[in-house]
Amino acid sequence: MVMFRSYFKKLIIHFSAKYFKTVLLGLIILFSFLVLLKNSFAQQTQNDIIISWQAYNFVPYFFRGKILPTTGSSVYASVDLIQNNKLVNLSKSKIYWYLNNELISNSVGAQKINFIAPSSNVNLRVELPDFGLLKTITIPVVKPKIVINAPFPQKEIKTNYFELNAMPYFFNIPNNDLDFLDVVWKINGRLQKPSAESLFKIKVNITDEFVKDLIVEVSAQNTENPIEWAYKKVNLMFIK
Amino acid sequence: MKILLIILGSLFIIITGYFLAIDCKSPPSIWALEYLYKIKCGQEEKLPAINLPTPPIATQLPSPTSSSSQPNLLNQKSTATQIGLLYDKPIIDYFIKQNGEIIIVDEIGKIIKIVNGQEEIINEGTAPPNYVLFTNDGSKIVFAFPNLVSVFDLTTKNWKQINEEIIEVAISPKNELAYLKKDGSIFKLDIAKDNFSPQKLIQLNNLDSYLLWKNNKELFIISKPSSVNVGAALLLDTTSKKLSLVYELPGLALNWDSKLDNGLLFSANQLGRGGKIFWVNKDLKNTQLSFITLPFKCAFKEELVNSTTTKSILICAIPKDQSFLENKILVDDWLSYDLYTEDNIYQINLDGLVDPILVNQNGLDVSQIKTYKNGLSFINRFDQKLYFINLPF
Repeated sequence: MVMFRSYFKKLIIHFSAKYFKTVLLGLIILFSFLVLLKNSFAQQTQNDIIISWQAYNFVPYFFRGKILPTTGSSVYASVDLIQNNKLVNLSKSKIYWYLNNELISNSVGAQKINFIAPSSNVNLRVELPDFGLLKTITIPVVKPKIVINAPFPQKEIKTNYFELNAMPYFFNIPNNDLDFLDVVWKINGRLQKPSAESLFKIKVNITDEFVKDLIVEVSAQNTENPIEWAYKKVNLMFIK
Repeated sequence: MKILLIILGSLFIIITGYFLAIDCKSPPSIWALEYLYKIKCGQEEKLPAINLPTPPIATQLPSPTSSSSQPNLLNQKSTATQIGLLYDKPIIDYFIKQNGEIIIVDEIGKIIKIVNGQEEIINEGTAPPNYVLFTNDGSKIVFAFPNLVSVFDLTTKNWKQINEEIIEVAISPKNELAYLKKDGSIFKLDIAKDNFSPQKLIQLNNLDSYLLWKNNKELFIISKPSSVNVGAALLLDTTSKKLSLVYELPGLALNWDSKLDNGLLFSANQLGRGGKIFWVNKDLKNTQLSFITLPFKCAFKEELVNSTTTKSILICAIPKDQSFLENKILVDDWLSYDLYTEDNIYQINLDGLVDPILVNQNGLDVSQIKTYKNGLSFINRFDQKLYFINLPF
């Protein structure tokens, strides 16, 4: 029995010496595998950080898309945590908010923050140290836009008289009041007078029988912040 | 040899580890890993790429329907495709009842009833609503104004305000109204009852979202769509309060038929132009469709397979110029009226068949599409008027 033990010990030592590198590599691989396996099981605890945000720039009342921020817009962001299909109460948790890697809030339970949009896209990061979680999102910062609503199939106009409406989007104007926008209309390079009802509407009456192509242009500028402006051009074809 | 075995072993372990760690909600961005993702999740199928068939060419859009030739949308089985105009003034939404009665809400919020071609003003509009919703029998209309929601009863002609700071509403198949308040809380109430007694479902902090009922029990909470934002869709079980993140995708836009529990999911491409559209079934299994359209241009229809079983088929208005759409900022451009599309309408089966069901008509930009037993109706965005099509089903 003693002999057998001694022989077995020698065998192990011999084997270990000969295949030391292989055994070591094997152990490293086994360890890596166990780590990966552990991580995969750890994901069974499903954590989802939900960051949402809202800008309060002007959009027409019927617009059902997302309101995008422009430089200087006030943006609100909020965070929720869903853990294993349940909403987690974060009111007593540390919440760190970083805007382009700069800490902007570290209050306990601060699920909502507010910031002013800079001149380009924003990286917003939320860290939940109590849960060992973080998430980063990118919030786009855009230029305002103006749309010429031209509901003509193939951009072809078949009547001498028609109306066009301009619709501004994402302007950062006080109280979302359109009076803070200056609007200029042009058709084929000539300034056009807007309709009496609204600066954003023109009534067009084509009397020149040789007119075929209409280049309609509109621009809008924020009177409170002249850097904020938008321009749109639409080519229409006049079919008699 | 030993080194090769070690390398192979390591690779095996790394791949196995990655496979176990795959999160089915986030498809990999590297193409080489997509195969592993598909083996594990098997969720996303893609219909074979096909060319859209071109429907036969038709003539001009029809003139308004006279009272004597009131279109038959609901009761008779039609034998040929016909297109007709149901209402020749701009509107924002409509409801067609089982008996053929049409309820219209126009651009200033005026409510009009049309019976046998005869118009009756039910209520003068006071302000343009952001949008309206109809109960499933069409007896009540929910008006969503900025920060205010009012319910109009078409029988009693009474208004009832929901005195809350509401930003979004949705109606379930059993007429339960879910609403999202400014503070992120979500409530539901039964608007069939005289006394509104709201029940709080959950207190979220979610900003800038809209609601859609998935069915009578589950509610989607979805980020407002934009191609430049990664949108999220949460699913709330209103009974168990189970909440889960079901989608997180760039340019996410979702439209859902809560009666048939099927929907359409849109996701923008990486550069924010064009995108992909998926048919999503009740188990949230996605099938990518072989064309681009907007989820708001599609509706589901239940078709009888045999005497006991039915299947859902999809009716979609699909823009004719698909390559043009691939360069557009979707869905933003369409929602802001910067983009008008010219559509044909097709019937799509999950086996990949796309059948033209409508004449090739110029000047149709379809929105608010709804299906019936023998046809479909929609608002054409070019003129904001209401059209119908009798279908030879």
